[in-house]
Amino acid sequence: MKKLLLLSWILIATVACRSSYAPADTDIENLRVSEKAPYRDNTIEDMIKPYADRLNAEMGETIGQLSVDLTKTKPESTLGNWLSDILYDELRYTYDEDIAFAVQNYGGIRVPMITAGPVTIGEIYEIMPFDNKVSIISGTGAQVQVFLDHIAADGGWPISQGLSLTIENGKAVDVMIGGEPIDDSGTYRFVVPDYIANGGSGSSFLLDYERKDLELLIRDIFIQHLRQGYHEGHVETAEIDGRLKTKE
Amino acid sequence: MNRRKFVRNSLYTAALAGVNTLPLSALAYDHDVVRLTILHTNDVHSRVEAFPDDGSRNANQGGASRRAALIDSIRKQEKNVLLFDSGDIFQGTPYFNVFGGEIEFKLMTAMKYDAATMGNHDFDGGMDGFVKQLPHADFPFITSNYDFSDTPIKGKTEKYKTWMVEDMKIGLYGLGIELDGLVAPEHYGDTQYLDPITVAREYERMLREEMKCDYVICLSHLGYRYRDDKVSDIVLAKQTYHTDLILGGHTHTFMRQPDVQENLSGHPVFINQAGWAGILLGRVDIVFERGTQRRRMNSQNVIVQ
Repeated sequence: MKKLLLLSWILIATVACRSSYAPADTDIENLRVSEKAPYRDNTIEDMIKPYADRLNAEMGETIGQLSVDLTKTKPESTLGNWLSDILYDELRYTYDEDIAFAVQNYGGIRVPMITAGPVTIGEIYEIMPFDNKVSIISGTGAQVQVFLDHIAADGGWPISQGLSLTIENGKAVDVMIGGEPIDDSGTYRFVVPDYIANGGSGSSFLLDYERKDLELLIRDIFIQHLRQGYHEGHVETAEIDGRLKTKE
Repeated sequence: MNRRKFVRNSLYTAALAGVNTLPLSALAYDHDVVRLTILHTNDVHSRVEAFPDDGSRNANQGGASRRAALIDSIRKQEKNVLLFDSGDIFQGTPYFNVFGGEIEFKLMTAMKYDAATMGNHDFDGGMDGFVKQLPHADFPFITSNYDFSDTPIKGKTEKYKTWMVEDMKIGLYGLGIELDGLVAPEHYGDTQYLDPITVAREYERMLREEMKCDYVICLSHLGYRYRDDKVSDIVLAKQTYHTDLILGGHTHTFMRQPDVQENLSGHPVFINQAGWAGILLGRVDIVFERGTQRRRMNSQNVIVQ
């Protein structure tokens, strides 16, 4: 009986094998879709055109002039400084908010660089496509330190003037706010995207902090700031000033 | 074309030529070979047009027009082609901000995508925003580990799908990433995230054992790998039994060569990901033989270009 069972097993296995396919060879490559591809698809281009025309009408407006290429890197970068400083300045001067500094999340800036020359609305959308709004967080120095340690552990996020720190062993040390060493018992107000205030990028501890939300898109703040400066003949620039350092 | 491809091509041609001269019974095995080409993208992020010619790193790369032409040229050469996307179709250029994903879906429909899975950014217009664009997508979304029962997406995605390629059966399931902390809570609402490994084992077993699929594919938006033990395509490959191929996304990984991991059955699992923004088009060519055993990890012919 056992033998019969075994025999039928072999039979079933053989039949099952013969009726099915198995991969014998697998060959994988990633093809480059670049200008070297000597062809285009007219049907696709015709589909895109009406959308592109409408976008160009809405997004093609030049709203700024940039003197240098700006890039995004960790810990400190020219693109990060530029965007954080605009947010910091606009909140203080246009919206009259008493804030100590502004922070952007690294992942919220979606392009690795922006090149010198004219800046269009479309480029600002590509840098910051998300509809993030402004959140103002209040916390004690000790609470702020927790947030800054989180930023340090992630290698550094873009921060504005008003704040400087050194990353050492994944912690924020030598923290200066408004030119003074951070005071554990002091109170500080600072700006973050609502994505971060809502706990994004591992910031769920911020949900326990005091908070005020503004119905204001961060992207719109940039557009408004740039457009105004452009009409006044201002040329935008940014540089590394040592606000975020790493100590080995 | 490398040598092996050429050899396989010859074999395939010989089998086809045999149809005219040999009685059917003689074709039953020995030379039963089926070639399948799988093309795939991930994280296209609304990159409808090529990157602008501005001297930046990605200048002139990508673009739907060139991608469509490339896909079309491959379809002309290959008899059996399937085309997939691993999610994050939305978000990244003003095309999404202004048109909400309409043109992205229309272009993928025109390119004849066979299926896609959802990435975290495909929730960026909210679930209502996604549902609103679905009529423009003439291809199914396969999401196995999101339970949309209590959401507007309920009934609008599928848990798995199968295709017949000649007389061979291909099965596919889809895995999405945990949305908590990645997507605004109001955008994913009451979507329940189910453990990817548990779900993968459930669907791969069903596809292989109940649906008798010859090949099982996972469209994944989990990400290629992480420094910590967060679930990734590599973790998935090592902890499943029947999945043959993982087409990944999320981590925007430009893979110079595919990864191959050994699964719990001792078989190879191939992992590929095609960067992001439509800069790359992934191409997987598989030669299937009827009646052969699935190769063990150490006996598989792996050709890496």
